[in-house]
Amino acid sequence: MIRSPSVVEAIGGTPLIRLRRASEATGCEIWGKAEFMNPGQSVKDRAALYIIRDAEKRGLLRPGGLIVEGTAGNTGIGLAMVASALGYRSLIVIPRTQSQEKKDAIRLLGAELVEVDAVPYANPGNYVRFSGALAEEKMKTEPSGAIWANQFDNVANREAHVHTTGPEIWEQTGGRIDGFVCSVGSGGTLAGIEMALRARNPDIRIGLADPFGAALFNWYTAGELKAEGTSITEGIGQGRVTANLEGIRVDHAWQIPDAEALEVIYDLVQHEGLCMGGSTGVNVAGAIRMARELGPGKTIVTILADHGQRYQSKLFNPAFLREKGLPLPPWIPG
Amino acid sequence: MSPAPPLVSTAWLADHAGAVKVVDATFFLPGQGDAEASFRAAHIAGAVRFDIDAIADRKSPLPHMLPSPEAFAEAVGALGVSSADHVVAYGGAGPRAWWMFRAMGHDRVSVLDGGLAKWMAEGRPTEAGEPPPPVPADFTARFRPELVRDFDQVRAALEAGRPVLDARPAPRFAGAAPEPREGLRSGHMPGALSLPSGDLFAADGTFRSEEELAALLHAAGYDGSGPAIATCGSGVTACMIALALARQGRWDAAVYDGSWSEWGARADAPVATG
Repeated sequence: MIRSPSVVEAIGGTPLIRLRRASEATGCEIWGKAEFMNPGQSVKDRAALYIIRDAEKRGLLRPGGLIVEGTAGNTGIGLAMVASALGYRSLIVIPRTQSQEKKDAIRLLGAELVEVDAVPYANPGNYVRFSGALAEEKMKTEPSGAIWANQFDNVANREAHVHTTGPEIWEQTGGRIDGFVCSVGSGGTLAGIEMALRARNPDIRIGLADPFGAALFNWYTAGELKAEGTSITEGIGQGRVTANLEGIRVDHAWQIPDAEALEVIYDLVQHEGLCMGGSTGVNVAGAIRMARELGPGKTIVTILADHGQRYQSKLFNPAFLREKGLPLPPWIPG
Repeated sequence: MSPAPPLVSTAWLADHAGAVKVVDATFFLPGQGDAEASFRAAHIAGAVRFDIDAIADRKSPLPHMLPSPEAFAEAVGALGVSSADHVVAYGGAGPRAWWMFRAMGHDRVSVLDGGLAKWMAEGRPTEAGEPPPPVPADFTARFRPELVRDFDQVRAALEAGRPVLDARPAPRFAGAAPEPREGLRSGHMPGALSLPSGDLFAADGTFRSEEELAALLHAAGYDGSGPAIATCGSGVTACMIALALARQGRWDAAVYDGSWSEWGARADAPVATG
């Protein structure tokens, strides 16, 4: 077994798992990077660690310092975990309407939560801005320093993937990789992995899997930031080109309807023993789309971003899904 | 014209929307956040962006030094601020904007207590995007040199035993924690008094009461007998001390604009630790 001096060193180095059903259906080799196996149970642990380490290098944090972020989910969990492990505190701004499970998960890891009413923050930019303004206040009052993690525009986020996730994928595939595809929230994962893989193979195909309600599909296909529709997925779906996305090349983009992502999720549970969150459904659906476009025999990698347990009340709740007119998990009665 | 109060509340600003010029002085250290993007994401309705790194002496190697009166007048005039306007500033550099206006002879300036965080927490209206280009206004600067101190003046003040208040966190004052800017020595000016700017604020980000501030100033060793000089890392949080002093009636508090960015980089500057 691997020995780790702290939880922080246990971040990354995740397995690459072959997705049998997706591979068989397409004649390609489709692999999922098992980011749900990070200690905070999501890909965001990597960004959290790099953001905090970057702030340390800049001399912005001293022991007991404060990390502020506006996040409804996994980044808050990752930041709270890394902060506790490294002797910092965390303050997470969360809309009051978020699920109790998520608030509890962030609180359990020792973060202070600031709940804000969702209505004035319907515009997500507004909500992120509030966390920035709060961080700005804390920067002047915290004796040990305060930082705004600012995952969308802090490129320490994508650096995590440039230096860890990307090289791991390259090594785990022995450099035999034809394409990589994933969805975008902050853009850190897609951009960082694009940079790492393209540096090693300029011909690699990079694909974006966008949920409805996001604007990047139109951006990468038509050069226009335009969103249509909605999605029940969480943590992905971006309406602008974040700093993390700047300068990367995206070769393919697809829009994945929720129904398609859910069928993938249910298939992963029933046939592969993988219980994943909604963004992973979009990612794997995107990998299947890429496989069909590139043709058989190719090796394609995507991200298994987080565990499905975090979305039990939505993705695996027949009452919720029926109300939305979405496919139901076949093995769950109700 | 009598000076405007150093602080106005969010409720006051909401009542006076449209009657004052609001300036967004959001400020982050390099790599800590993008103030321009933050402004575009949300700002108080009608606010214009006040960038202390742009409204600055760009020729100085030191960060965001006060520009010439002519350059200041031109810059704020272009933002649509006239000499008749009551300016309300918010953001991390809100107090510096307040001090800059005062140093340029403009006394109708206040800081929004609690800033944008309090404003938004109260669900008050904000706008996104680039505001329409402001209608240029006439601003006349009347420079007040007594509110701005340079290296030699600060050294002379220290040697004469006059009060110099340092707003940096206590570990940096003591020289126990490194400076966030590279190439600077750690410690403080011999004889300076430590008053970390964080102590000036309550947990909700608003300034402490006048009574509490008086007690803090006293505890820091300031006896109120003469004009004080405030200093910090780069002349931003020092302005919070200057503002606290103005609330005590000490409108004569000056700011050492070069602050530790200059003092800590000079080989000829005495530095104490502990």
